[in-house]
Amino acid sequence: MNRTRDSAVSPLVVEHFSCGYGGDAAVVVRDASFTLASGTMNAIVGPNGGGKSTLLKGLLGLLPATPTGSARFFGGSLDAARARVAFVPQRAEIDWNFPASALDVAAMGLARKAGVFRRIGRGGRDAAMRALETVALADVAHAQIGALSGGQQQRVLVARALAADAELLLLDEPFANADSAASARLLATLQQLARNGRTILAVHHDLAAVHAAFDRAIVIAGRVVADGPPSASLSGSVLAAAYGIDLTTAATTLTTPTTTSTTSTTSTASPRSTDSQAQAHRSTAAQQ
Amino acid sequence: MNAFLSIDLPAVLAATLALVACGTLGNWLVLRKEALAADAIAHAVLPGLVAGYLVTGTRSPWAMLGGAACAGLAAILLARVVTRATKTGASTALGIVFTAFFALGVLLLETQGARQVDLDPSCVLFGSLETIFVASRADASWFTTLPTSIWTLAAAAAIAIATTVFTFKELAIRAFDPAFSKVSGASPRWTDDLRLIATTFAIVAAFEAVGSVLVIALVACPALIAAPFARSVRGQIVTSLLVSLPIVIVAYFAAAQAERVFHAPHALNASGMIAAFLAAAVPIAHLVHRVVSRDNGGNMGGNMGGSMGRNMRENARDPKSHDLNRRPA
Repeated sequence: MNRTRDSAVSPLVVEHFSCGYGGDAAVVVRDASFTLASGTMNAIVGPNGGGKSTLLKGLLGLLPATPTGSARFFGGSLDAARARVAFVPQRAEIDWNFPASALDVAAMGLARKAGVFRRIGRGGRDAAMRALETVALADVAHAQIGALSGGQQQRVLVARALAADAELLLLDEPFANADSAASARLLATLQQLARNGRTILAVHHDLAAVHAAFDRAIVIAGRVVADGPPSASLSGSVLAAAYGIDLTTAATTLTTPTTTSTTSTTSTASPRSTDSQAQAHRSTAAQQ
Repeated sequence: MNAFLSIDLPAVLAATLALVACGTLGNWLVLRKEALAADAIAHAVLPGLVAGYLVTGTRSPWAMLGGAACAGLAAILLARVVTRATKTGASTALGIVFTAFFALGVLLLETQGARQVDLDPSCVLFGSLETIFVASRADASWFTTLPTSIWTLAAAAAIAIATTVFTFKELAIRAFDPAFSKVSGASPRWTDDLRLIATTFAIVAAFEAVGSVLVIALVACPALIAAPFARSVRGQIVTSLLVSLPIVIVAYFAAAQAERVFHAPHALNASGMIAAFLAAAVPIAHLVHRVVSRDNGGNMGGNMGGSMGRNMRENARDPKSHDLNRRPA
């Protein structure tokens, strides 16, 4: 499982990348540049409408308008690296009434390897099952996806990326609407994957959790506002610039989780974590 | 040759083949929440029918079928262009394109003198299932005298099954999550294009035989009848066909025997009756499912077991989950 091969080649190098929906809305994210290191946990944070999800989709060619600039995956084009890259969409973008079991969805990750016209055989089903075990869903493998909890559904989507044996996982708001236990569990899974050499790039709302568990935070507000270890890139002045309001008090709550958050009334950018969530993330991080 | 062999059997055969062709591919449309596409294609073929006649000067099945297929594909491609260019949802684009195509068809019909040919409106709506009969000929067997539309429908059904069987995995992945499917490259674009072409062919072939009302019913209803009970895509497709087939046959004979069954003054239109029976079966299926799942103590999954915790269904129905075109924040 340990993926040290090609560790010299960055899983993702983004240079002067601009993307958007085309037309009048034009460019949402301008001139973004960053390089990811193998086996790291990277978060994209920023205010609503700042272009976090748009950037992720732009990198993956999921926007109607063609982006400008370059995004190289494992030193080459996305087309050349598709087998090593997996996208985990927002849970809300999936129709969970789709007739499929958790195992069916995980097995979808193996379709590329099997190839067109070929069935995903027993070996593939076993690999899908192992992926479900990794995200602690083996006991609900045969349950309908619509019957799973929100946190379980999110982990099924991660299992599908794992079954595909992806080395770079791009996750769009994987912690949205998950309760603290589900968040902690998913976070632990992602940290485990990063330790095994896989690279994580996740859009995240919860600044406290990013602070506690991620190696790096890229702050996006129409452009890259800050980039670096969370302790530096999530400083009060940077957040104030990105979110357009003074979050100095919010930044204080990040380091002292017992303080009551004073930003919960702002609609644009309140760090949504509760203290107990921050504690949960912290304790998960401490287990490393 | 008796009336059953010459009239009823060919008609039931045509309806069955239309069910297999449209119902199989209709499952994909319903899974992708694109059932409206069937309506769009069925309407968009009108200018193709007229153009087929104008170009060839005949009303031969091949001229009609070729023109209709071209128009159906053109409508789909144009809807894609409109979706991309205007950032409207796919169903809005289909709505725009199919009304435009239907209007174009009427315009062609009225201005190009094609109205002398009988493109009968009621025939467009209800088709002519009852007139797919085998003319009694002493020098030929029953089999060889089957009308062209039966063979067209048989080809459409075979293509529908082949498309679904051979690219099943790709179609399922794309229907479930288009974004993942695109990023992984697991589901090549041509598999989806092939499905759309097969769907157009199925709708065009069925349209000619059974009319637009039954086409739309045959595409949407079988999948909707099976959906509440389905635990897998494969299961949904098989169930949809197995449950709909007896409904179609019963409805056909109910229409033929309307004088006796409903005390109607004469036999009723078979296509309309089949459409009505299929449509009625959809809410019945949902009711049955609700009653059955209540009997099981609300455990709709059946074999889920008790170990899964209390929060199993809490997030099952997310109202946002159907809006794939929503622009993310």
